[in-house]
Amino acid sequence: MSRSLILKTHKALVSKKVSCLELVNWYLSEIKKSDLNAFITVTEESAIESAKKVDDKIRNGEKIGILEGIPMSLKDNFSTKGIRTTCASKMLENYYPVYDSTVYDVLKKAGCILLGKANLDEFAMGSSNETSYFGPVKNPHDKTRVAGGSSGGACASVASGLATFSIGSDTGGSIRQPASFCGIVGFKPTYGAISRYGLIPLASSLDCVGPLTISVEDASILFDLLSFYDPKDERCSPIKRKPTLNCLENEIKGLKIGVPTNCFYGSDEETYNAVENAVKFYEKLGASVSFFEFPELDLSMPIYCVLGRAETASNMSRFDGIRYGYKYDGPYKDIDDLMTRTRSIAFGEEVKRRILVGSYVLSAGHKALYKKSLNLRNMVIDSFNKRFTEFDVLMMPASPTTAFGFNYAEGDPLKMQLADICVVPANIAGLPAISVPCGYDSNNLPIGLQILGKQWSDDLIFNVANVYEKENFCAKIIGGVQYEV
Amino acid sequence: MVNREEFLKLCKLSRLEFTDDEIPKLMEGMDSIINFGNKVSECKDSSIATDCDVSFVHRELSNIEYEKCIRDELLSGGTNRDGFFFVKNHSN
Amino acid sequence: MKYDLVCGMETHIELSTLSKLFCKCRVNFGDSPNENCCPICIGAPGTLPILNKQAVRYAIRMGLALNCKINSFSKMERKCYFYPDLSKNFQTSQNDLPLCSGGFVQLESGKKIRINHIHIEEDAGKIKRHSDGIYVDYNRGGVPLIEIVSEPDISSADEAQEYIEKLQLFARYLKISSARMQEGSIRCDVNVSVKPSNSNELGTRVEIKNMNSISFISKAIAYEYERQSDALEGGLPIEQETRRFNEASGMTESMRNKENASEYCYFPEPDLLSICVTEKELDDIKKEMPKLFSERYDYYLNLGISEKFARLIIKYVNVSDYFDEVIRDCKVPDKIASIIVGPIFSYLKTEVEKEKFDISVSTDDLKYLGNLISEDKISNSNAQKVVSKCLENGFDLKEEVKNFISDDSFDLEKICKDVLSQNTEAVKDYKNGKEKAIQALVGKVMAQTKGRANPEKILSIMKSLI
Repeated sequence: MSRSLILKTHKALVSKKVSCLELVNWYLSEIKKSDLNAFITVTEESAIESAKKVDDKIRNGEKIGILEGIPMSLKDNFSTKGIRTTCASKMLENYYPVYDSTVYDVLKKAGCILLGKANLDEFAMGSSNETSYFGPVKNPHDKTRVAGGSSGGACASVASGLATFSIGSDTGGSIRQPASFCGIVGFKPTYGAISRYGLIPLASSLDCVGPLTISVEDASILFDLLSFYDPKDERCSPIKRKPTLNCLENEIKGLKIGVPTNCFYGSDEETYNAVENAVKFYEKLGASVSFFEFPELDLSMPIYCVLGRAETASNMSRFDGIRYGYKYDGPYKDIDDLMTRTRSIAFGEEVKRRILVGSYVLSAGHKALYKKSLNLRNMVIDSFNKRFTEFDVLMMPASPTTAFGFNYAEGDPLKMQLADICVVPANIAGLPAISVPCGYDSNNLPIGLQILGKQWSDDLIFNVANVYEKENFCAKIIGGVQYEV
Repeated sequence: MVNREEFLKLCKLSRLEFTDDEIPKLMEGMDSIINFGNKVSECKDSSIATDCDVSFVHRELSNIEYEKCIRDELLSGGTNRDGFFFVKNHSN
Repeated sequence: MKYDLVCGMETHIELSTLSKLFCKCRVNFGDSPNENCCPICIGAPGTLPILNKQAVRYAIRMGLALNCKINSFSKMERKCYFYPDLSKNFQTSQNDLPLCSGGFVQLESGKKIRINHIHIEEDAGKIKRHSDGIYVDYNRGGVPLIEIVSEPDISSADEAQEYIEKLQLFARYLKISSARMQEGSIRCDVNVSVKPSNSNELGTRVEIKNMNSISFISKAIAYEYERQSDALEGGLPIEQETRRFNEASGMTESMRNKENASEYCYFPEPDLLSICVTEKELDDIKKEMPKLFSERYDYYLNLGISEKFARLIIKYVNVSDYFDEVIRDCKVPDKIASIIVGPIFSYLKTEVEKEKFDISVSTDDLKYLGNLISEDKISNSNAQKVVSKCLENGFDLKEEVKNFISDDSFDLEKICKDVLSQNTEAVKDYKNGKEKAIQALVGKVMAQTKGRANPEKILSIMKSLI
């Protein structure tokens, strides 16, 4: 049985088991019923209109593409022309972009139907989707727990049958960590594989676009669609892309797997066991596994704290109420006063905190810290490259724990940031990495296995993940739209 | 680590303002992140050039011809496949 | 106590590329506000800059002309500060690794004003204050600029003036900018300090901004020199500050004290790749460089044109281009030069008109005229008259010249013989040493030919007859 939800849906449409309009209406009604708060904006009218067009095509006997009529959600930090894009912030509460992000443009061309913009941590800053101006997102597996962040809404929508797939962004683990919390597949490509044009940036040298799906095959289809050279993004690589879909079933005998032992620091025992079991599975298939110490891995998080916030502070500076977004409407002394009041009112606490740390790190007296972080970043990249001459892939947990409860960090920003300890290294080094469900803990909370590879080994990552998923498929759709073909 | 004077300077620099009540907690939060970030100072400088762009790694244009990607199909608004058979040796 | 002036300049030149530095918006002055804007230069969230390679090429031309080293690897950086004319509240510029390093501008005296570096950056928008509020026009935002930073080698207001004028000439000859102060396509900020002549220690620097003509810059420097010298003489310290020039009073005055805004938090622009200039690209740019004024000046002198005329012609790039076209395959370049400096420059009264050099007489027309001169078919003075008439009245030159052409249908020799035979007294006077006598005879021949004959020709025929 194919595990691809996209294909299942496509088959259902083509075999006329369900019309596109019925399907979309079903999704929309489930979204209305849901209390997970996964969506900020629901694009009901346009979704219905698009569905009707697909049905017309099918009725006329025309062939439709595999993604045509497939309902999706999109993390609300992707620019969508004419459709509200809030970044889960008061600052952009009523912001309607005048242009489309490249990614959304291509998804539209492929015929996908947008159901709505998914909730996220404000401006993608957070690891639990609790900093959103529009309220937190609940975990479909346990509503007393968080969905993870920052792509919490996107992951929750897929895991709870409110979208066939979603597209999120990953700067310090924001696709993979919530994917593991919600028990779905989350893929972060090599940095520069997918265009960032139209993705409202958090940290420009770290931001990646990636798919959130029920199965590896779906993620592979979406990656192959979205990974191409876009001249509108200078950091998007012109390198020729290797298709990943054709590699899913490749043999992995002889695959060399490395497991960094220090990545288990702070892990739940159950998480550790699940990952260890997964690794053993590969061994049975003929892969070789080595546990090793990877000290440079530990540098990733401090580097991220410095570099990430520096770029973030600068990226947030354009929000001042003058050209778009929230503008303070009371009396003010002068332009500086207007900007200060606007930003202080419209930005949430975590955003302001990161701006301050970023400004600190970039200011004259502390430049050494920033320069050192840049310098060490190269060292981390180099040390990964060296490891990848010994190993084909590295494996570790996507998160040290399963989904935690609300207010877990109790206002301690460092505690929250450390939730990303396993996923940040791939961002620092620009590596492709996937989180694929590998079990549940005793609370029935999903555990994610993370697989990393060297730059431009995206196809290998999909292959290795697919091989595991084939025999160990455990992703669940909780409620929402479900059907068998 | 960050004293009040410097904190206020940073606020001005970033066009942010806070009430007196908010400041202590914010400064504490900043300190914890900055202290953590300062771990990098404990390391020796790496000999790999600071001016090395991450993107330089991506600059090599590969001349290898790959098999056709599914993108054309996905964008063409029609498919010749029967829906299922994407993957080699895939069975129903 | 004698004081030396120590002055350095930061000159911004707007490049005349078709598009802005980071997007495809047009670069055009005088369009209605915010007409030439797009999501990128407005700073819409999620947009990304794309570097305009032509701007880099233009900047490299300037670097080559000023004898700079063109760095094969340079970085764009963000200069962070909040101001409404900056759509992203940071300016994408360069800092640690600029495009060009070193170099110099040589003055007429032979003195070299050293260049510290040249970097590229984007311009900010324009703030307009109206009675009902402050408005921002982002048309100018994102326009490519080069900033040329000199070392503090300038030691007089005159040198400063010459330095700026040279930069203007370079920019215009390289065809990278119109470099007009009135239009704002060239702007200069000056750093002035003084020091006692017998000391090597530099004084406190004062920055003077917002002067929009070369003469104001000159006056400001002169005033500032006096002000600082007087202060030091009186034992008073110089405050490091930014001042503006008050045109009415002729004095510099302190600008409203901004907080120490020089916290620019430079860091590498993460959205843009580093700028790499290969050897081949550099060679291509060198090949497509237009001929500079110093080259042309030497060339003109070799053609026998006087220094004075040559200097006047190279002063305006459009004039020089026009002149170069006319004198290709021309036998009388010096005569053409006189025509330009004579009637044409008299007609174009203002500097702006001379810079624009928009005249009804085409290069073809003047080539034609040049041929006639070289064939002795028209005298110099008549040629100049023709040009004047055409400029003033818009006549077609080839038509107008017919009224002045020597008509060889009349037999000049015969007319000369006739005049000589009719004026034997004058001939005798001339033979006795009265030079003026022959002029009268020439005049008579001219009268007979209705002024068309070439007086020099007449003179030579007469002399040979006598």
